[in-house]
Amino acid sequence: MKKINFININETVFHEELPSGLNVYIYPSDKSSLYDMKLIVHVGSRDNTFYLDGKEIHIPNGVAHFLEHLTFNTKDGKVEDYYSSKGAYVNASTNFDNTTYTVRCNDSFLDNLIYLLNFVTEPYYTKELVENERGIILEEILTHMNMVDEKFYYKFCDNVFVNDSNKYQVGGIDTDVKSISLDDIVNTYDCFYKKNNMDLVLTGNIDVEDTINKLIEWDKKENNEDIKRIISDESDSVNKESETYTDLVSSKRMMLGYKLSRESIDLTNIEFDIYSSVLSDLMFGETSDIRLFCEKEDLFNDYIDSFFIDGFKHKVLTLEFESEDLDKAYDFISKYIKEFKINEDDFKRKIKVLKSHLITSFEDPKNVGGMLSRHLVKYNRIINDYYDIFDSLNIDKINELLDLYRNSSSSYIKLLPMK
Amino acid sequence: MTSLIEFDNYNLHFHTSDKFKTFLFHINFINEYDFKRLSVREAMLRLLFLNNKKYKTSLDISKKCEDLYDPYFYFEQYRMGKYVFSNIFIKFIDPKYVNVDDYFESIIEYYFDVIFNPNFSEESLLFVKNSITSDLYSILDDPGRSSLLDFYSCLDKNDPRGVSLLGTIEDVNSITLDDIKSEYEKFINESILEVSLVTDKYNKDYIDIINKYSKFNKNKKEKINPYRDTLNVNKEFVKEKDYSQSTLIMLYNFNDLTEKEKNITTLLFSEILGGYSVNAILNTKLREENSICYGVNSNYEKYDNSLRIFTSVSINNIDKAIELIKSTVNGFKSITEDDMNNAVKRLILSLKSSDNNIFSFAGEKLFTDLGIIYDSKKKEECLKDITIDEVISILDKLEYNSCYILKGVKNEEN
Repeated sequence: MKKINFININETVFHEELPSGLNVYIYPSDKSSLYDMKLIVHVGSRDNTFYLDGKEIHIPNGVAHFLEHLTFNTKDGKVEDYYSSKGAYVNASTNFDNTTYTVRCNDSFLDNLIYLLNFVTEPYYTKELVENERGIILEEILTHMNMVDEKFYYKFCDNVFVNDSNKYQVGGIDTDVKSISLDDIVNTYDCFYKKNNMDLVLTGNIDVEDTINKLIEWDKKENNEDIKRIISDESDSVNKESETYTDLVSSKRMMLGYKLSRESIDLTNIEFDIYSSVLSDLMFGETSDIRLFCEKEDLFNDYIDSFFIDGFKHKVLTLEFESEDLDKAYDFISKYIKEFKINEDDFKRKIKVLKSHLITSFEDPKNVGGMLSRHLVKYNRIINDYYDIFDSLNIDKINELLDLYRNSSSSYIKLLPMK
Repeated sequence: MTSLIEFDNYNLHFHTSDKFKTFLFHINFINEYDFKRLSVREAMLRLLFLNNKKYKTSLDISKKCEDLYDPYFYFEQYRMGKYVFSNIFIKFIDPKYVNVDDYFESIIEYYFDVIFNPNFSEESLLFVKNSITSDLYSILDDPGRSSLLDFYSCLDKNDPRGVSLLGTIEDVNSITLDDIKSEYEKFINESILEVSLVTDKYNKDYIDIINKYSKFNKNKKEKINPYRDTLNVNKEFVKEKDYSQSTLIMLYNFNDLTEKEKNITTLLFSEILGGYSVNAILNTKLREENSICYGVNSNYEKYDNSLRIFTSVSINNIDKAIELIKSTVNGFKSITEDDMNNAVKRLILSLKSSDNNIFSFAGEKLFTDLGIIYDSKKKEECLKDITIDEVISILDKLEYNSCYILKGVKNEEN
């Protein structure tokens, strides 16, 4: 068992790799009256093409999500019935790059943990279960189809990405869901639901040694091949530079993005993400000049929202805003980005803020579980050296990144109210 | 440790816990619900964070915030029955983690500098009006949220649930700078004030610092009783919109609930009926057995004395959904001990889930001090002791009110 110490902030996570390859991370906290467990399977909606037993497999969009729903059935009945009788909470979520099963309880920790591991790693899928669940999932998809914001987001992704499967809706669309077969489910399970493709994150008032011993007792060594994903080549250029459409909205909106390849600069993935986040905060955050402009001039209805969309190898700096004159707003923002200069004092202040947030991010143990899960999904390790990374951030590198973003391929989409 | 310290113009609720890495200081400005004041109050609060006599621009306010290790400093408004709570809060890192002298005092001084030195301007007012309008449009564009507002306003034009806490677009457009100034004076001087502080240890210096900077001298203290009744109109409202899915809302009123029923029994009733669990009986009926929805939930609107059931279904399943909901509610008496015990466990788990959240901790302490809720320990004890007969008897106090159907007519195949 290894200790992962977080540099400079006196926090520790314990790590054990089980014989099967399942990685276990434990954050013990005697301040918590709850146990929180997350079993992360590294498969998501973007995994629609892969190799299995030497064959190339293509599946419709939405299979990972469908599979997540089905996993709640066992030979002995429904997973929720078991946890209900234990007074525990169970849920799952599928994202672009992971499916995470979460259990929360205030007692019977080990029983609940073993049950979680069993129901995820012991498949039980039948044609009847697939058909029963299909109706429920179709209703879920219809709910999403009513959401203007989601439609806007996915239309934008479709314009930015050419082949990258991160552009597809997590649950698929109705035609995808109607076409998913039992074979698609079983193939996805067989390829991705291997213990060496999973991480387990546990937080709460946990006896670490006792838990690890119990897990070793449960575990069985497996000979698992490495996962072979098929990732399509993705251009550094956007798919479509612009589009305009109408929907049931009350005001005019635009989403604008700058698509940058991670390989265009010499940074690790975590450094790339931190620099990008600081850059976005400097340009559009609460201390940015553009916020003052939004307040004083009548061009924007509200502040400009900035966030990132991640592809396999690209990161898209994305802005969303409302304006009665979208063309003028677009010209203004383009000019602002072209002429933006980073102030060194502002940059240093942002680093101070990052350090302070790192300390307070350990306040709620179940949120710590969420944070550790995100590290594992995005970077395949626990980021315990944030402090060192923050200290290494320098203004030359962030300026280099700024230049790359503003000269990268861009795309915008306009959403106008339906008449 | 817990202290309720009474001053002439406000109460200070001072609670300590060693669980957190932050401190929380907040003031709840409490006012009776008045729909005419909603938009102007929201605008006034947003303007407090934009312009200030000491910090000339919002950038200066934000930069000062970052210099103080970036506390989470803003406001939220929520309604509890007949009252609106406007909570201005600041959550900041525990001073022991930063090497700054007088850090606690700097935070409190900054907080009151922002509240007591507004500098309202026409140009910022225009921006805030646009921003609130934009938020209102987001609500109106969301099928779920807009259908709830529409339903309650159809039910009763005076029902506060029929109007967003941001007010209406017409009210927002008519706000003037004089309105803002007048609302500010009323807000600062006439609100009932409940001040809260959560730290790691009791320290009398903290109380002295708060008193040093707070300049409240006109506010009256008053005990609040938030409960209100919902009008029973017994109607079905049917509308249509170009959506892919239909929305169904059903409302029931409660009659003559006792204090225990308001705080515990009805909560459990709602959890068994339509809590956020696959095992809730409405979910079992509509989703698991009939696959006609993704989710169906009941919400106990405690301070409005009502129970709301909400779901989204395809257009050709609306009648079936209504029939299933009505029969499930009417058949509540056939629930089992297992249904009840599982719901009790779920509720106890959700009580414990808030334990490590400083906002939930502070909120629970405040509302317990105000006598509005039971604290977690008492809730847990009552839940463990409750009998199935007590829960079933709630059905006799439940009266059907109305139904709202928003038909989604976009997809013919639905």
